Amino acid sequence: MSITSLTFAGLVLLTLAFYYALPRRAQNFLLLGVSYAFYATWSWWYLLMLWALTLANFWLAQRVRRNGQPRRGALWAGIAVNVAALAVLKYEAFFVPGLRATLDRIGVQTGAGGLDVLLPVGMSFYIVAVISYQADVYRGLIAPADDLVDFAVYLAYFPKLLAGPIERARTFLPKLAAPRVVDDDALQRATALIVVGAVRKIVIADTLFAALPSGLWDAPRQFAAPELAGYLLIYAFALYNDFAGYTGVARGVSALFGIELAENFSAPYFARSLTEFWNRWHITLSHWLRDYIYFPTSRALLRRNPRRDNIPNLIAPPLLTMLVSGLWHGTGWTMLLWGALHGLYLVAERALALWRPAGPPHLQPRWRQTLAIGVVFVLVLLAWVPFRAPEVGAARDYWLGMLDWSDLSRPSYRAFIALLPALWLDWVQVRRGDPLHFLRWSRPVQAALLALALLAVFLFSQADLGAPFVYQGF
Amino acid sequence: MKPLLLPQNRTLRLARPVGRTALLAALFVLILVGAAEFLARQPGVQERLPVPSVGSTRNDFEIKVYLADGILDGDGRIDCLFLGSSVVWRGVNPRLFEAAYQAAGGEALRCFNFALAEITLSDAPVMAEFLIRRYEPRLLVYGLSPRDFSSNVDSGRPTDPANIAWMRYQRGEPDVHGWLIDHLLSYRYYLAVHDWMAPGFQGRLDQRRRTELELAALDGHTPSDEVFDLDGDDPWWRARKVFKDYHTAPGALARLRDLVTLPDRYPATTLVLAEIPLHPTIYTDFLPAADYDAQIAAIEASADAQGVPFLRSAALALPPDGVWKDSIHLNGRGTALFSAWLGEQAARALGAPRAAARPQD
Repeated sequence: MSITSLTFAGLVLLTLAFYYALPRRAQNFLLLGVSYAFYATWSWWYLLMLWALTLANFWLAQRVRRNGQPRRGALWAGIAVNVAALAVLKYEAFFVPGLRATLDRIGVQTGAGGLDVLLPVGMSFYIVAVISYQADVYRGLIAPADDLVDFAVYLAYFPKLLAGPIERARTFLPKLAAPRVVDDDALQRATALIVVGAVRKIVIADTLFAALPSGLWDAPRQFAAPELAGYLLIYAFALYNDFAGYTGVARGVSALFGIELAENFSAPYFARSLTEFWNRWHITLSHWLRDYIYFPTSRALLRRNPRRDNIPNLIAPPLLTMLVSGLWHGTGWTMLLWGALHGLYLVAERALALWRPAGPPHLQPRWRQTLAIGVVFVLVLLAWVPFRAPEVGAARDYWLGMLDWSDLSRPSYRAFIALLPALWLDWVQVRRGDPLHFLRWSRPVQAALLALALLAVFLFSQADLGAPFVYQGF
Repeated sequence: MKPLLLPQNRTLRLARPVGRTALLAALFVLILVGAAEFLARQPGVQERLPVPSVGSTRNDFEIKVYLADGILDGDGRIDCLFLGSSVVWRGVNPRLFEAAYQAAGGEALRCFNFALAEITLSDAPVMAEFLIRRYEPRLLVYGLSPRDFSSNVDSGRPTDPANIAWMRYQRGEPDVHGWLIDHLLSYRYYLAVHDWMAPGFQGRLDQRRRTELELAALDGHTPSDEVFDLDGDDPWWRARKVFKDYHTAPGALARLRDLVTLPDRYPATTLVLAEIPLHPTIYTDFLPAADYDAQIAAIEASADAQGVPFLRSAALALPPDGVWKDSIHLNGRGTALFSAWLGEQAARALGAPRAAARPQD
């Protein structure tokens, strides 16, 4: 069940009808039941996996901190269980062929598809969430959950189950323990988040994805350089709006239940540095990586050598963090290349800052900020090539193809029209500091915008471009 | 402020009436849709737009609906329609049929070829009923051949356009999308250009325009001036695709019975079944004789039981050379011969109805 489907809308409205009439504790039971029912529409196997990991993590967390004392062994056991589950299901393509060959050699018949396993949708998201929970329990930032229902809701909460945002237990569980309020402002903002999210996904992202020609990623050399550059631009905005659209709908739906989810995007293509980009793109994952990979690595290196120009500390934390990010996104070499590239960007940025320290980006002259936005955007664009390419060779061909300007064929100008609303939405956010700034405009203007948005969502959804959310696949 | 809807201890605490912005937005939507509909109905605007869509992926269907609707609006009537697959689309020229029909003593008819490439007997009853209800023809000629019964082409389920939302709505099934298509011309025009940002849109638009001109020229029929080259590179590939391991598709005969019983519900329309000829080699080298004979017997039995004329083209005995586009389609010369023969046979069959009475008679 897609979260932009009418069926999902029906499920949400039906749930809300009961939810608003129930006391807090019963609300959590209702959320859990609906979340499991929602997940079961994808697969019962996914649900069984979620149950198993919920019980295992609930039990393990009790052992990570016992009688107020942290236990390192239990923490590593907890992390190992979660990483192993993810590795087995997500990276099976790496090891199943080898395992099958070994079993065949010793005479064990595996049969066609006998060893194939399927990664439950959303698992990459709730696994990292629950690892942060184990780590925070170990650090004493949160007590082990003593309410299995609340803990199960934390993992299974249906608005965020498929593709985040990746919530921390220390901020999410207290929300479940407190009464919730949905007042006029919350209702208005929730509705706006849902409408803007639907526009981003259905009107912008699906249209942009449909504008990409077949064969673009498999055989990029058959396209001219202006086409490759243009389609890369289109892809960048399609991917961004696809995920930001999902997040908007998820946050809006959650807000209707009185539970605010974390922001995941903040006009990332207006970032003035790579560091700022990662504070604007998939923020909850970036911050997770920062807190659980980058900082611990950096702290370990600084303990050995606290100097500012500590070269290993300059290189290892960003590189390792971005390689882990690449691995989280997928199994192929292309994702590792994408991660490595971003890691190198960050290393270069840190080295430059060491060589020539600069103040905060917002205090720089306007021309320098604009130039920085352009440079960061181009670097991010180039990195999207291996992110999307099916293999490293195809990514290389794409890059090389963009250097060959002997043919000046270009994409149709029509495809770029869908970029305009995307840019406008981000521009409002950058200028006003609030993605929903238009809620302060007069009622007739708001109504006109709402009318246009609803018409556009309806018309574009009828075009049946309906691509699944990209990040749901991770 | 005092909550309007629910007590203070509840989750939902609304202090002011909700929905005023939504109501205003709904008003704006109505104004926008009304303006778009007004524009879409202006002839000057329509001239600049492509053929409106009814939500099918098939150009030929959408254009034939548009052309047939245009004839109905202009002439006020369509007397006879041809339905079937590409063998009918290529093989029946409505104008030659009209002339032969009248020359053989029939009335002056206004005909249109509504055949659609690749439709099968699984689509036939739905499509035939749609045509009867929409255009109310006096005569509906369904052209069939052994291809219609081949399990290689008939999946046993209706395909586009027989199963699209608009057709479901036409059949009386509740369908919001179908309703919108049926009532909003602006929506039909939108559907025709909905993929305008996708690669190749201009090419598809040009192709739609070419198809429109081609089909408009001869009332839904597209003649071919190709001549089947028996010495060409693999001339029988199409025959193999359709007739390899030939056997009758499950349910095909049941669908045929559904088709021939339509006149019971729509007595103002006379149904005629016509066998469309295939290249003689098909009958000798590809079709198992026993299967073919059994099939013909089954068609005759179904048709006789309902008093539906079944015109066998074996009597025409077309030559193996010069009249074929390929192994299963007639070219322009073959179409001329067959259309004239069909018009004459239809006039005779309808002028002197068979003795077989309908079951209820």
